[in-house]
Amino acid sequence: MSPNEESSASAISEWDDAALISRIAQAKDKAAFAELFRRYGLKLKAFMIRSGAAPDVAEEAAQETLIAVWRRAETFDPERASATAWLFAIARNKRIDLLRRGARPEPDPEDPSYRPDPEPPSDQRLAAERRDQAVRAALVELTADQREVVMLSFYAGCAHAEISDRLDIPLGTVKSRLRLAFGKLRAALGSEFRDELDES
Amino acid sequence: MELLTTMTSITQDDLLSAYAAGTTSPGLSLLCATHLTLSPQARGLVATAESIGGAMLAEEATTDVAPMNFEALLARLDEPEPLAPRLTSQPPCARDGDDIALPRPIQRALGDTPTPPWRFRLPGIHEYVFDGYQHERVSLLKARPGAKIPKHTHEGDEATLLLSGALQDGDTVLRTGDLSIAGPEHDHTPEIMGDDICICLVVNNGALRFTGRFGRALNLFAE
Repeated sequence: MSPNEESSASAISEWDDAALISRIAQAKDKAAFAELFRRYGLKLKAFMIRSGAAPDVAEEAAQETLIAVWRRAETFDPERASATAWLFAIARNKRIDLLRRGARPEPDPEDPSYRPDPEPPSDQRLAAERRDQAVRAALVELTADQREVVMLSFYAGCAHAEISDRLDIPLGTVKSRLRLAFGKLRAALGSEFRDELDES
Repeated sequence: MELLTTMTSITQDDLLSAYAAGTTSPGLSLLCATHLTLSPQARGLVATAESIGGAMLAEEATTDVAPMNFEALLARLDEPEPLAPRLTSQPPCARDGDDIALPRPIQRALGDTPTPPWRFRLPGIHEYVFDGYQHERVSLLKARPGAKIPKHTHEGDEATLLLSGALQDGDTVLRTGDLSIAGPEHDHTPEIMGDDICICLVVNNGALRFTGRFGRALNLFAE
């Protein structure tokens, strides 16, 4: 699929996020980038604001995130992560850079010490997109209270004590709501997620 | 935004979801990155937490957010990429003096000293305390087969990640890649199992108090 500039502009809005990122990786296609910006630019900025950034800082951090998407699109592996999980991880790293002025330690798949994933039969493997769908379905099942603590904890990056302050609820309530939410996620996400969590 | 520095009654779930959210302290981030290197199960948990973050990003409301400057962004795409120092270069493979390879996050934390400059603590036990961490004590502990880590308790919490060998702590057996989080109430005497040298990464957010026979001398070391 290599549409010329004009027809790509009309077709590209139909592409899914993963296809846009792959297109950027393969062809440094600015039309694909513009479409991804249209879908996620403001959401990334809203994410930075929700994490406590002032609007101008949020704009800068969202731009930095999109520049990283442009430069590192080839590191996107749809087998490992959905497009939105990958975008979230890049945005989160930009937020860390912003707050601490330094990269944090990350696991490196090229590390000789890196233990590869066991390879289950392919039909048992929960593909990244299916994991994502299951996560979204499970999030819908949470109560509004549980969803709020999950959002603040997993997404906005608040420590438990900070959530307790913000919502004016006891620390124990924050923890119990998160535990209940974890329980529902476990129940809803099928066997692979359960295996991942049960060893803990 | 606060960082996760307290470990009171936290679990592996809590620690890894805080890492996925980007809120672990520098010492706990090092611990998590090393744990993720060694544990596919832990990587699955972080992938799920990032998937939750991604789902929430996709639903983010934008009605109150001022428009972004797309032209300015486009103009920046072709700027030369600033060189990320040392990110692409491979650090020397850190090997302990006994030729045990250390995971790369540890190598990077060691910086220019590929072999940890071990300090003698007790017969069979050496320790290296990393510089540059505030409000937490980040150390490598190396114990030879048969060595006993003296009975101790902590004022804060202690997270221990096994990098090589096997360790028994009460009823719990830790093997390479396993993580254990102990609270302040936990007075323990971890023992080395088997014939392999045991190396652990230990992150402690309060003072250590050794309570056994060697207690007083070691408390001087532990500050």
